[in-house]
Amino acid sequence: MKKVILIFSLILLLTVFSIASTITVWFSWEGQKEFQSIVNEFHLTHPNIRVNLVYIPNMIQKLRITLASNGSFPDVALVRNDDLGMLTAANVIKPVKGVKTADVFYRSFLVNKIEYAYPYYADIQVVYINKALFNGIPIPKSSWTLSDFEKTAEVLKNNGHIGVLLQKSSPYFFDAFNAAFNNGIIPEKNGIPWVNTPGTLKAAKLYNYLFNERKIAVSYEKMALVNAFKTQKAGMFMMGSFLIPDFLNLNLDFTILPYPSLDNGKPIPPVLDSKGFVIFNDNPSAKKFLDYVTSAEMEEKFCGSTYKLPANENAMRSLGQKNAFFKTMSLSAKNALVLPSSKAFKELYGKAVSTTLNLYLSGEMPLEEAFRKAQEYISHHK
Amino acid sequence: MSLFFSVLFVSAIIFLFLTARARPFYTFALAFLIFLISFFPIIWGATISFFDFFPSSAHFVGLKNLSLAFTDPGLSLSIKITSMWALIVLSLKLVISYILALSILSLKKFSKFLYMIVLTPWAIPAYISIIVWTALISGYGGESLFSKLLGMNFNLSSNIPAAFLWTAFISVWLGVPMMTMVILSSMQTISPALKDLSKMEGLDPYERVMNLYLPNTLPIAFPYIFLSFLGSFKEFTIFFLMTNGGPSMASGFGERSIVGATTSVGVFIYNKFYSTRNYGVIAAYSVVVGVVMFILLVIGWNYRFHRKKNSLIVSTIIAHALFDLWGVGSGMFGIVPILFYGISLIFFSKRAMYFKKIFVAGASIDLAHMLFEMSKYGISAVSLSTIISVIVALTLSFEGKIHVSFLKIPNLFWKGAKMVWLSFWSITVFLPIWSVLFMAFSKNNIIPIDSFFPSSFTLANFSILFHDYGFLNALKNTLIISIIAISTVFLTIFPAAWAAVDSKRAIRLGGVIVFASLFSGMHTLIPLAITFNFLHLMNTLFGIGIAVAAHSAAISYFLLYPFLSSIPKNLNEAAKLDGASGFVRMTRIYLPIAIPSLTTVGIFVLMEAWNSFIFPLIFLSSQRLYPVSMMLYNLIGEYGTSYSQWNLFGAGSILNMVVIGMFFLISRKKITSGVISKGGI
Repeated sequence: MKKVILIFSLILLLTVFSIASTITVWFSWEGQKEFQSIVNEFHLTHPNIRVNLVYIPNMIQKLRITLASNGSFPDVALVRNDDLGMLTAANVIKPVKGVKTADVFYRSFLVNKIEYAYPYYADIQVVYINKALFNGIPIPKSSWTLSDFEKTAEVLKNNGHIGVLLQKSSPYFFDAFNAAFNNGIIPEKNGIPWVNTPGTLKAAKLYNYLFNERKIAVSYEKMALVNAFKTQKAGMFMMGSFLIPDFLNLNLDFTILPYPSLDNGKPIPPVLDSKGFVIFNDNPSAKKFLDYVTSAEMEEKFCGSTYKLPANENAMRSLGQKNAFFKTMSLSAKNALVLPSSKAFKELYGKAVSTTLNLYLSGEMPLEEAFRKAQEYISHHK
Repeated sequence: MSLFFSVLFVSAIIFLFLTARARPFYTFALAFLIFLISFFPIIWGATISFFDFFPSSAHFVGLKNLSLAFTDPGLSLSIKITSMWALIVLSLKLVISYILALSILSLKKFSKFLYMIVLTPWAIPAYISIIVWTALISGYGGESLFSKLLGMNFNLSSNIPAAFLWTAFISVWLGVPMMTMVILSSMQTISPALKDLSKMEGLDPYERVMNLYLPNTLPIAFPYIFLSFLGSFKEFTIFFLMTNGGPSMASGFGERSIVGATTSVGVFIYNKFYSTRNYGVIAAYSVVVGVVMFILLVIGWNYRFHRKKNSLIVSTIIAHALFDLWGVGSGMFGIVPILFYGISLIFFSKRAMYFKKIFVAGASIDLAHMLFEMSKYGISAVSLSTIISVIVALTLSFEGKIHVSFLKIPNLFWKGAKMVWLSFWSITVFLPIWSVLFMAFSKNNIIPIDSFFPSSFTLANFSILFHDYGFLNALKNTLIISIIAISTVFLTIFPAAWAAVDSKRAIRLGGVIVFASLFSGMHTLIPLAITFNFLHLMNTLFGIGIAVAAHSAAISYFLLYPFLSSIPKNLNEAAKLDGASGFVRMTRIYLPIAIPSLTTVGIFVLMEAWNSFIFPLIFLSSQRLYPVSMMLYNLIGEYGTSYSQWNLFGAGSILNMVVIGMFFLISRKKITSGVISKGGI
């Protein structure tokens, strides 16, 4: 009898696996281990769907090359919201319908008013505070202004530390300041980023003031930036929230604050670096999988351990109460800057702005000329 | 798709025309490999440059895209930057490698140990050493150990000379092992009698180098040296990982392109890939770069033959004029030096000896003009035509001269200098290894490093790699790729190289391999991916293995062919008279003798396969197939906007280096003695 049961079970198992559909999912950025465990749970609850999870080190590079070589796309891929323009222009992804999510996430994944992704999570820019260096210096409140920010940086500098760290030529940081002087958005005309506006010039002047005139901000390259904060060289550090788990693992004495607002009360909107799943075909298994991973329970599980801001409203509400970090992140999200998803923004804006800032801040090119050239470059390629 | 098949058909005909007379039984395998992976993608790229090409739709536009590329001032500037950089890299690489080779030869003890130290950078995958060096050099905003030692800031994102020279140094550091090996091999071809004579004549080290070693080794090592120069011209990874093409330059901020101080042509085309989806335009830029490479190849080809000075001078004049007209040379001023070179050619044809002096005078004027312009306009005043002329002039003035050292420097000085130099080089080899060790054993995820030992020691990083990241599986995949690549090279290159030695008709394939290797690069990866899709080789380790093999073909061929040529012909002739077939002669006579040389080729291909990074990145879409290089890249991720795990990266790098080191140890004897003593080049 046992043999019969065994054989029957084996046949059943083989039948289940033979009719199981397989979906390929390209995943990137942090949380590889955490996502794998969610996939494992999915396998338990959905034995007829197999997920072939592939971790991609540089998603946009992989997508571009696949596009160029007419290669095979997966069923699902996790992308950044500003990659959508390229993918929709190439007509390789499918619109999604009825995905319920927080408004700021919904707006992130719209192209021509059509939603193209299952929003998953976002990293949001915050100001990291090195509490150990604030000995006797009051830590500003979350409602702080640019003047408070400058004063704090000045005191830190006078105490022999770096006031604030950020990368001066990176659009990732500049975008927030640029939007602050442009009514909370990156200006565009007919889908083309516009970098020659008075607001953008004001933002660049503010950079010059912080870096070159008052010298309270210091710019390092990639690796050094994070390490300077870890090794307590800097009091404040502007960066995405994705570093929180690393700093917690190191037992750093730190906290985070939202970006300050301008002295006129207008916020400096932190960049919402949102990621969502795009689908490349109408495979129903892919939709089942995405419904599962974007459910409140699973989002809370993933984002809770990786310190991401979940797209699912219930998960966001629940995590928002979890600790001070999530509270600040949720607070920051209220003023967040949603980056344009246009192709021109992704392909041209970053390179042009980075070059402009480098030349202007190093004194090699006057402000107006630098931004005029940036605009010419962007407009030429439209 | 019809365009794809048409190009496939036409390129097959062109390829057959070029290689048909090569003995097919021995060369077919290599020809097939080169055609699929190198030749066809080039022809495909050239074809689509005539189209506005968006995948799956093509619209014929004639010369529009090519004209766009030719008239882009950004591309001209990038070519100027690249040529200057490649020249600096080659010069430094040659000088350092010669000094190291001479030091190894002159040491009575520890020469093999020193040789292993010199070869060590080869065992560290480039993407690891570049990242580690970048952290060591730039430190915190340019403040680092090096900046303190040399008293200047090395901010690679704003200091133009620092970015330019440090990227060159890293390229030299990575290239010195192979170059030293090649030079050592060529030095073995100098007869001991000549060496003894130089000692008896009392030549000091300087005189020995100038009168004995350089004249006797340069012609032998030239093919590799020239390939190395053209390789520097295609460099991409160093710039991509170290400077991303920066620092920015006002003169490089154009409407059509943005060029920084280290925007090489490789980076330039990569940037184009990101700013347009019209692959016809990208292909057109690649074609223009290919034309420059072709002109350089023609000059290099003529440079090889010492007696054909007229061909060399003619090709220099033509290249000068073309580059001047196009805007990457000396402009209108180019007429002046060209006049000198023309007169030099006339004197040469009349067999007047002072043709060299006239040529050198022209090149001096050319150089003076370029330096003057550079003092006014910076790097944008670099002239590719001047660089070529100066190299030719230097060779002409060097040849046939007896170099006498006027300063009689005591031997003690040379010995002291040698010790200092060798210590310095050993430190440069040790520094990145120390950095990687530091990261690997550190609890903290920290880079750059600013203390000698980590503040917290752990072995956990290694166990995490095995438990959580499947390091063993990645190692297995890398090993499979390496075995496929090495076997493919052995099975294709050896018979083809033998056929070329046995019959002059088969040598044509060698020329095609060089041609294909020069034009392949970042820009041919896309058509290659299309071909792989067609052949169902995407997402397979076999595909990666044969792609690596094809890309190692040129150097493997030119490591093996001269070696096989140096085997006395009478052996082959005697066997022929005895009725031995070609296959028997190849396997019974040449194969056993060639084992040391094949070992070097094997090690070279192993390194290429082990370090291979771009192919897996593009062609693999399955986690279980990822090799070590991809696994390590995953740990860094998209740095800047994501979280990099440097300590795990360090641990993985150490394990990787240990495995490669084991291969080195196993084949140590063959590398340090076998090939060297047989004159492998």
